[in-house]
Amino acid sequence: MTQVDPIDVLIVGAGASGAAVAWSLAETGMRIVCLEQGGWPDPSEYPSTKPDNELLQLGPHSYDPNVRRRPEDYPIDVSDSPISIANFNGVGGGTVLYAGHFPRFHPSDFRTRTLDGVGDDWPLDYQRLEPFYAQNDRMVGVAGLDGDPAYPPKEVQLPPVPLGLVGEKLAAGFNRLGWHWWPSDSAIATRPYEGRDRCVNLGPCMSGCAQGAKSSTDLTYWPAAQRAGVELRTHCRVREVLVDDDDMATGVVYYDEDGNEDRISAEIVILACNGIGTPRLLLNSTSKRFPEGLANRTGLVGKNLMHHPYAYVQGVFEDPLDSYKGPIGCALWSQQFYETDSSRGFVRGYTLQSSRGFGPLTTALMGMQSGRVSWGEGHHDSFGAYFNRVAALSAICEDLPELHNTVTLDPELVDSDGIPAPRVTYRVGENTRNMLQHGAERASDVLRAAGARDVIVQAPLRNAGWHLLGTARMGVDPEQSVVNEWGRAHDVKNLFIVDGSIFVTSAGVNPTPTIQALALYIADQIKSRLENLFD
Amino acid sequence: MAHEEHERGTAAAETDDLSLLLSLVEALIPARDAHGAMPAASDLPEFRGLSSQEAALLYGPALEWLRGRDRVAGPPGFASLDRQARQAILRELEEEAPDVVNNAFVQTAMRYYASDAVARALGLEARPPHPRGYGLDETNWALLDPVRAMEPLYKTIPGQGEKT
Repeated sequence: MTQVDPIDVLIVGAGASGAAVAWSLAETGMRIVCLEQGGWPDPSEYPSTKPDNELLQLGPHSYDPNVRRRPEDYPIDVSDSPISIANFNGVGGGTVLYAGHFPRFHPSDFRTRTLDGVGDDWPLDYQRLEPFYAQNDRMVGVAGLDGDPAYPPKEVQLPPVPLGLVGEKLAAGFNRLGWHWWPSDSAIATRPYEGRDRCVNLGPCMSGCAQGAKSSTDLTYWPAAQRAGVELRTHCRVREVLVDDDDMATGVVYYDEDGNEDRISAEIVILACNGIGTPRLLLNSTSKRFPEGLANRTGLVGKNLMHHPYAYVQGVFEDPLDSYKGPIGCALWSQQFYETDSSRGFVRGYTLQSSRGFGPLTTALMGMQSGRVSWGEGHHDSFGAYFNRVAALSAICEDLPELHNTVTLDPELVDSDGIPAPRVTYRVGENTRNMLQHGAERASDVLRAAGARDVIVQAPLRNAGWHLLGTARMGVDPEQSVVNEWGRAHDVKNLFIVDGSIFVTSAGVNPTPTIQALALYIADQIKSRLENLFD
Repeated sequence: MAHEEHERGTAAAETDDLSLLLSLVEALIPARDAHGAMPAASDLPEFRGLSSQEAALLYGPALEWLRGRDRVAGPPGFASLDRQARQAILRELEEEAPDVVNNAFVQTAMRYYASDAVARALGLEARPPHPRGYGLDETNWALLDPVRAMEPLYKTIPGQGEKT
């Protein structure tokens, strides 16, 4: 179905948040079109279906767009950042390549200024967002276990992912120390769920789930949204959002798959391009009314970029752990060090997330990098002592918003359509550095308590820019934020942002459940305010 | 006649290039006979089937350095030496240019560990993970008993619900 121009709602980006907002708004009967710069992912092409699956993950199926370099990818200048960017440009967005680790924020995450004097309080709270977390969980099908003492009560839909030998080792280590752990909430179908088959423990979730058990939005929200009448146009890359003399968005200019320039007009424009793509698009949408970029009269668009710097700690054990079997990032988490304890030398905290091991090729490369796997006569012994004997923990550290961490437009680098590429300028702040060190030490404690004979630390992990947050922040004060408390741009009253760029703070957890809950919340606000949406 | 000589010369060069390459990768990842036999990298079709052009692309700096070394040192060339002697030369190169040896090792490992023969030698099934996947035993959640006994860990915020 092709919609007649003009349409009611135009969504840019078909990832985690774009899919959720499209599905939620579809019940209004409005004419909704989503433009996505990539295509539909083809699960039969995912690396886990191929004999050389590990090689493919290092190249054409890498989560780093600067390595992957598909036509739909845009380059990202990360030369001034210790953390490189991960994304996926296609239907499903980052959910195609994420691990499916699915923790919610905690109540304290929305009140960091009040509680700890850092960041800012969100203009909404856990209680406000909770119904939308729950709604999202039902769409996703969350595997987990009720009763986690680290969270207010919440429901899960499916049994937890089995711990496997890796998770059982780690659990025993936590128990020896008397520390919290719990089976992770996982966006993975451990039983058939809403047409998706159950997980068969392929391992490399982060190059796409060929089984279809991982909840990516190409499999969950999009089929439902399309059935409800939403039109999804793939291979359409948006160059800029257009605006009239009344500061109202009128539509967008985009390039189709053949590079032809086109336009589409809309009453409402919603950006869902992630914390890098959204500021890039806004900054590239300059006009007489907005010479510094759309919705950027405060100059805050592209500022306050937050990641989750990772301390990645591997423990090497004596016994084989079948560590390449099972969802790589989903077994258990610990939130022993989540809430602020000022005696630790930093405020806020982190999640410890378990990771299983890798196949032989990746294991060899990682072992070579850390000096554990040598060439020559000792090669096989050093490899054999490492392969299938690794269990790992990552400390996912809360990053604080800092104005000097930015996304800007690169003056030279462009994508295949000539659109300026984003440039990331980022430094790990002092609070986060202290947290990384603490996380690495505590993860090492757990691994040693679990029986590891060797511990290998990487902090911050370079290839870990999975979470892209804060670059068009939400707030009540138009001088201190880009969008208001329900996602509408302060400067442009028919422009909404629903992706991770509206995060006020990052929390110490993977952000996708919160991104999607916010998208559903904003959609709900739009629906409930339709009569005076632009006032 | 000139064409045939050219063909013979090209074939000889290819043979020399392959011989040098195989002697390099065998020094990096040799065979192991005891404690679980493993093939040498040089035994695998992933390396034996490389053309001169592919070898130059993947191993250019290392091969160039070894050819230069052979020109200076004279016979016997690197490829004719026993493994211990070749490894000693590679350690010299590693001292001088660690990135060159590291790159050669990475390239070798990438092909070696993508090989079905190596997977089988490691006791793995030489197949992609999908569609059969792998089995994981069900977890005994009694492991969680000490955690279930914990007090709530999350911080309550006034007006935002109660601890359980």
